[in-house]
Amino acid sequence: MYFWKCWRENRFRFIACLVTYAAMGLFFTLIMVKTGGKNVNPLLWKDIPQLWSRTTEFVLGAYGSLLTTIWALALGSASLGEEFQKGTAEFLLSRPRRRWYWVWIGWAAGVCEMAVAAFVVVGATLGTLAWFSGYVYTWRILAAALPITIGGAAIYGLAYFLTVVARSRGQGLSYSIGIMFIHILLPAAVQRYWHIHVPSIMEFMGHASKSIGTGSGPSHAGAYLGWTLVALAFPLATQLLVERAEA
Amino acid sequence: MSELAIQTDKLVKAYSELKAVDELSLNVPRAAIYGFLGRNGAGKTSTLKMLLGLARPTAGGGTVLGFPLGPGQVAILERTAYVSETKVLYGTLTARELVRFTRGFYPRWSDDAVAKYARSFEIPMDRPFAKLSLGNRTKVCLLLALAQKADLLILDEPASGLDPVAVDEFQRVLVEDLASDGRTVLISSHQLADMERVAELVGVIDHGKLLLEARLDDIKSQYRLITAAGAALPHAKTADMVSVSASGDFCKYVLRQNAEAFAAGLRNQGATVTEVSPLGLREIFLELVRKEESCTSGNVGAKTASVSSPVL
Repeated sequence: MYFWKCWRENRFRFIACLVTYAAMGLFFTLIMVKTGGKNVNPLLWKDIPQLWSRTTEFVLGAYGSLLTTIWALALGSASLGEEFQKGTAEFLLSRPRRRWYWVWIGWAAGVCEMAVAAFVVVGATLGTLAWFSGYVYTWRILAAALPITIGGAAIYGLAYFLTVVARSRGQGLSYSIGIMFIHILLPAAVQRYWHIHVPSIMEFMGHASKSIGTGSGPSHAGAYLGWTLVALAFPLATQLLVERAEA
Repeated sequence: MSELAIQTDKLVKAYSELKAVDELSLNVPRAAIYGFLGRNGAGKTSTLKMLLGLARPTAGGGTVLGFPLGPGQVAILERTAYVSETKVLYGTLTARELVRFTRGFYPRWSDDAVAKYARSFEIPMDRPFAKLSLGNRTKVCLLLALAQKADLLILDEPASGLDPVAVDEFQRVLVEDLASDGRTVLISSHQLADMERVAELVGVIDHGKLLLEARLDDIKSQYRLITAAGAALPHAKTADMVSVSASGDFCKYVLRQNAEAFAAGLRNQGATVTEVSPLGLREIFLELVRKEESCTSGNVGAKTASVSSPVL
């Protein structure tokens, strides 16, 4: 019921997002196919794996990750926390369900949308590539959506949690964007000045997509597990918050 | 099973220094319509939120339908329908979609009741909630509450925004459909005339304190306002007294019983009793909560209750 409500309230934005995802994926893939990249001829059989690799790296690793981040922030800030801002939390929390139900169902609805969006962008990109190259790597198409979904879920969870903390969509979104900037810049600075590698969600999405696209398969199982735990930590923290919240 | 649908014991809700609810002990019998009356900011909504687990009591406790108060008390929420003061629902959803959303939470949900009340309240079921007038929003909230077939209805300012025809229909529903069906209704309001028509019992709250809890019939038949003038009038409350207020040489007493004996006692002390009059709900409410310059209130807990004065 709440899952349906979340979907019903968000469906127009979601469909617009899917159309944008598919169109952009198609557009960038076509550019890659037509230009072929440096020293790659899309019509030559021997160059096809390289074409796949470069397209996946560019379109999914860069564009897909960026778009997912934007969508995750927007979606996360328009979820449960907004109920407190609008005043609908009083109605919601007076329905006979334990509070964890609202937190996890609301979160799951967003993650499902993230997953569908990830499959659409991956499908549009690699589907176009397969159609042009005449070569299909089915498992890559499916597997490339995984890191984008996990990364998207973590960023979505961050915005989801902070919007509940702030009880304001605008503030929750602002805090999330701020933290994302720090999260992106800090590892780069630490790497630059102290030569210490700090994991970053953007790096995870980019590298994982690239390694799948190149056919080397999912690497760093620990990273998958780690970012999955991060993604799950946010709704858990939100639950602790909502259990104590007053409407 | 307790005969009380709602019972609170010295319930307190404090926001920093401010006590919104101050040692409130409420007793709402089952199968009754209880009017919970008070001015704006008296503590009505805070009390209702604590009953539903939407707010955490600072101190005290209580039970609703036999279940202890507490956040997320699902057993209470399953049996209680609530209409909030704000009447804010999801703006993009139509009334029909709100029914679809709400229906699944309640095993006793009645689609027949939805059809019946949608027709009698003339609710536009296919218009988004955000595009409805205030009155129609209120009607949608009432529809969702009534269709739950709950044992207890907690309605916070349920008639706000309703036109007189809709108010009349709502009152008919309260009396004919709910009270006759043995369900308990707690209505928070400051619409005294409306409450006088439907409520069997009333509780008056001000500054978080319960000033009065009584049956309306008792108020009409036994409660009296006595106005007296004199030099040494008693200011302290007695057991029969609901309130006492003084202004200059005049004192006003609201008594729940034995008014004639009290008036006779005043006369024996040399006071001039200018008025002994029955009280309606409006009069007693105003006497209890009105604050005037140089007027002292004898309500329990009020500072002026300790004014030293001769006792009868």
